[in-house]
Amino acid sequence: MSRGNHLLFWTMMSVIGAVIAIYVLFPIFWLMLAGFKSADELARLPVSFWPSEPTLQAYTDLFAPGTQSAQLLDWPRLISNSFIVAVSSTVIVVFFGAIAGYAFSRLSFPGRDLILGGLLVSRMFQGAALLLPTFRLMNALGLEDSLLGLIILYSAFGLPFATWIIASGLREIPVELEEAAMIDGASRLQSMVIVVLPLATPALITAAMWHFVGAWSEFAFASILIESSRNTTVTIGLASFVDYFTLEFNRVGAAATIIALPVLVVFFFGQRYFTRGLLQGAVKG
Amino acid sequence: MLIRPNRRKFIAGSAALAASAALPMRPALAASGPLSVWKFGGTPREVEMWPVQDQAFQAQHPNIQLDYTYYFGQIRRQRILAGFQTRRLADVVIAFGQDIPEFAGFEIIRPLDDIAGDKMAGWRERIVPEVMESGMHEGQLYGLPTYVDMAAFIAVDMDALNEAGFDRPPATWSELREYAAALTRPDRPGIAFPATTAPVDINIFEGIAYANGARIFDEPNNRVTLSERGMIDALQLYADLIADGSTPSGSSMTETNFRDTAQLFAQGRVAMWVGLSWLNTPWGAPESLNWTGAPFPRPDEVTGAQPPVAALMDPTAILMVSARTQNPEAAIAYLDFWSQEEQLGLWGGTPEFSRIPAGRNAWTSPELAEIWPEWVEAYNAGTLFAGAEPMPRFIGVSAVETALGNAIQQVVLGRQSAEEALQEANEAAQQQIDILRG
Amino acid sequence: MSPRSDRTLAYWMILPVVAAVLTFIVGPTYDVFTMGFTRFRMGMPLEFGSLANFRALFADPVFWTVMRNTAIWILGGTIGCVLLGLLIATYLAVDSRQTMVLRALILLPWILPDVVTAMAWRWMLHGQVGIIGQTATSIGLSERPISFLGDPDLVMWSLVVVVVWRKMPLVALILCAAIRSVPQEHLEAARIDGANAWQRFRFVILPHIAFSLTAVTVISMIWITAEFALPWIMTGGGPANSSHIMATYIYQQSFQFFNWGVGAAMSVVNLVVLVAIVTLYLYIMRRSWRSEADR
Repeated sequence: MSRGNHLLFWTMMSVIGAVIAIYVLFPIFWLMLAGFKSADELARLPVSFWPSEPTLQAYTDLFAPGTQSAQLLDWPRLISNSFIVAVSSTVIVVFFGAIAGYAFSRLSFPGRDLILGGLLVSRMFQGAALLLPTFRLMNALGLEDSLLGLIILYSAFGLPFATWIIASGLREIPVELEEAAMIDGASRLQSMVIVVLPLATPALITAAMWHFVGAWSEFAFASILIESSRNTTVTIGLASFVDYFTLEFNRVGAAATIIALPVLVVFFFGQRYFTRGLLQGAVKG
Repeated sequence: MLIRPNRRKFIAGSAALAASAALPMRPALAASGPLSVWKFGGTPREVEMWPVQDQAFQAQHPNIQLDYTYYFGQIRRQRILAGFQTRRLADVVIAFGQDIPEFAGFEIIRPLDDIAGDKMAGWRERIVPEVMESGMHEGQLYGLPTYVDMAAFIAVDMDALNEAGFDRPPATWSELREYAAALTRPDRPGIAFPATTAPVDINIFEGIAYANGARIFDEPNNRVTLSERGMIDALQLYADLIADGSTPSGSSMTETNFRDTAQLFAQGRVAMWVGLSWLNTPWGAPESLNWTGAPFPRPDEVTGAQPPVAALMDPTAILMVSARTQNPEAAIAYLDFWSQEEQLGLWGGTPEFSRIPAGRNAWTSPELAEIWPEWVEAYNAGTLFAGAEPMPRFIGVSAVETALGNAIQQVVLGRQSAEEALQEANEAAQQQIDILRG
Repeated sequence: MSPRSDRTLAYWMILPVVAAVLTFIVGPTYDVFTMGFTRFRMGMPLEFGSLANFRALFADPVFWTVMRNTAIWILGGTIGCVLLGLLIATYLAVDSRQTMVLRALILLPWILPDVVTAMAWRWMLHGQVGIIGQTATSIGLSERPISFLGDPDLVMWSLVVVVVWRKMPLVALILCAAIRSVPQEHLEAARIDGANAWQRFRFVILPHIAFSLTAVTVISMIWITAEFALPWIMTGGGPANSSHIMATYIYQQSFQFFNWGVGAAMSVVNLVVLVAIVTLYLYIMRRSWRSEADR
């Protein structure tokens, strides 16, 4: 490839990158900016881009007594509730997803493809239609209004896709490695745990991150299953700012920024493994 | 759908009942035990103040363990219905007056007459009768209203009005068209009305149509009445205002809800806007804005078959008691608390709450007199609630209002005439009603 | 290792997943099917084995509008997610400081709950009070304010843009991981053979990620179908029903109108249509799916 072509290619890449960044990040950026504006400024027209008098009022409102959020919403508690739910269900999903994913990718048994396809398709039937039956089921099981109930439900919702991701990740790993281990005398379980799963780190991390974020941001089922304020999660807290009446995008922006941070941290943390896993794993293997 | 009783809860409930029956009757036993309360939506200040007042309740009733939960307003019906299905409903539910017939019909809530006992007399004493009436259904009281919202009102930019050579807000539909056209400048339409699918936007239009003798439903005959003359002419008013070029574009209004129109008005982007009675909520209007609120203009000649209605009102924070509550005493104590002057007084004119207060005493408050002198004047003259009726409420009201909202949007977008749109909406709504009512 | 013991082991290994799905997804789904064939009156069940709900559903004049909108929603959203996701994945797969940062930030649209996303987009897209609407007018794109959510001709496409925004990032990340797992040697070999960037993409990368591509297509389709909060809060099906899709219709019938049966009937239609689409898709793509699965 000539140098001119190369330059053209990279210019194109940069332009595409910029467009992508604007499309993906602008709405988030805009909400974050709103977090530094006053309620008055948000009401003003024409819409101002940068905060004219940047203020941290919305942030202090979140925790200050005498305001809606602090009265109603114990943010540290909401965050810890959401964290418990998201982390626990992620552990469950990755653990059982890895086991099942191994079976789907390595073992052959009657109905394998059908079951895997069925699992995935089952995820389709969610949303509005299942709200009420799910709510009734959780009540019958005595799991209503509890974090445990949310953990179990989110795990069930997350497992099919996590299994799929992990199974497809495992398929990328050469079977020969495992066969070599087994010829050396390792049992199937040993070879799975010692040889295959470490190589599947990228898939496991992808599944974990996907599930963590999904569980962290779930609203519909949490809003219907959780009743008492001590079990409330961040998404429910956040929704209470955005009623029809309100123009409180400053508070939404502040709260959204705060709840986005843990996820970003998790993701940066995961990202390192993600890359390392890729370098050590499938590529060199 | 089958209702599976929650055995654990049922046993606990029966045990509690048995225990209380075994106790010897004690005079004036203070209410005690757990009490759960759900509230849905509200103006920001209201949402903040409610739990603050609850602390006072808690102080007065130390033996009641109050568990108050606030919910995102838009999941109101979903939440209550789901709770009903599984028999897990809060003891006290704070929802809309428009919900009463359905909740009563599904036996989600119980009449207060049975359980309120001697408390009721005090409620009637402290609450304006017309407002109290809005908690009634089929001759029984189902809810304790704390305030009402009324439809429809109009806010007018007085500077723009004076500039165009007028000195008072428009009083009739033809005046409204004339004013709207005169107040329109290239960069500022004369009037904006909200026309999204939000229920409030539809309620606002209902206020206008009912004033023209229209109704949306004929309960005795089980018949949707969207396509009658009074309704068509009211919708034609919207169409005319658009045709006159006095409004933002039709497609702009179908994405502009009541709060957006308020913002446009407060920022001088339109000279008049149509809303409910909370015109003075802090929408970020600058101090310099010289504006006034007035009842929406009346039709020049009422064309509907029914008596014209002066205003439609709905209590949007009405306290209802669950049919399944195990602790009616505590629930009544809670309602009684919210019927006291200290609580009812909250709605006495503060722009931040911006509701029409239910408490009689609130009408003598200086704040209300200062903010809404016209309301107080009308109240004292006995005309504020005269001819006012509750907002449409019957089993299936949502289906009919949704169909009406659809017709409004069709007309605002200029895709159908008022007559065609309402004819179609009428058929669709009738079909929905027939399915629901079997 | 005998195939027989392998088989038993396999069933044990997938048991937890299958059991969870049967209990928490298939169970409630069965409930919905039952409701679809039950006649209701005033929200109470009358009798099972009735087609009344389906008759009512097909008689509803909105039904075909809903089907058309759903097609735009699902197909537009899926194609948008996959094409844009692939484009972004290709970009992100290149190692550089910018892409490292972007790979983390791209997940942001996923973090916020739907309710907030919907409200924020509604606010931004508003022709008169929103930043996007205002910018469009001020840079002279349009004389009059553009009503992305108020114009029946624009509204579905605006919703598709929002749902792609929300769902695409993970598609991009999965595909990015897949592209990065392409052995460097293969790319190097292709380069030595004189293949240009496009040819390397077309003949080395694409075949390698075919399985992942099939997977994310099906998965985005599933996500987009299950989504209801976004369109419901942004437009409520309006204006004039021009953005009513199956999910919002189900929600409206069930929770606004209390017509559980009709809502459930639509859910059944929804599922049948989807299973048909996915089956068809998997059948067409069976070559890439098979070759990977049996490798």
